[in-house]
Amino acid sequence: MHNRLRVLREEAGLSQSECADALGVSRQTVISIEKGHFDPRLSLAFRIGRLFDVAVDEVFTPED
Amino acid sequence: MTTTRTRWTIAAAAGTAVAAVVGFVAATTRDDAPDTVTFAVFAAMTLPFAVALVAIGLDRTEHPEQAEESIESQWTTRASSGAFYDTIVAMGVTVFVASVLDWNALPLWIFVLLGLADMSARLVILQRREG
Repeated sequence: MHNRLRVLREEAGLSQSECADALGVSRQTVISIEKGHFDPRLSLAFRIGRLFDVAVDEVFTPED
Repeated sequence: MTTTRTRWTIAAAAGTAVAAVVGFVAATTRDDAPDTVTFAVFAAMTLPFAVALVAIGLDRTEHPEQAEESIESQWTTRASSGAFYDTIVAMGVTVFVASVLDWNALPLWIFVLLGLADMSARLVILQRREG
């Protein structure tokens, strides 16, 4: 899955640690999602969407 | 919630009791060494693991993340499943070789160490590759 987490996080002015704290996950998890190494579960995907006030499909898009 | 000091105090007491029971059972059932030696060896080997297990069981710290949503959890799952597969293959090959060479005893503890080492190595590799 492609994701726009890094773009959204930087637009919001959040560091990776601040983003991780807000989502209730480790900084390593945020880093791995941004690198595309880890596709989060649906519940975390929705938390990411809520954090940046966007729909989930604006954060994650399937690779074609 | 118990404090850290209380938790470790309870863990030390319970772990010592468990280690003593294991040592006693070993001393009364095994006859390959003097009872006091058997008791001391088995109790000493059991103690750290018993204390650690009780301490982990008493830990009610609220962790901020949900484990199944973390990359660390995924690494652990991948490393353990890979190590399990490797261990099964190693045991199968060893059983085959042992049957061909007519070995009577297989040192099973080697496979425990192999599995743990394999999982540790896989975890380190995953963390370096994806971390």
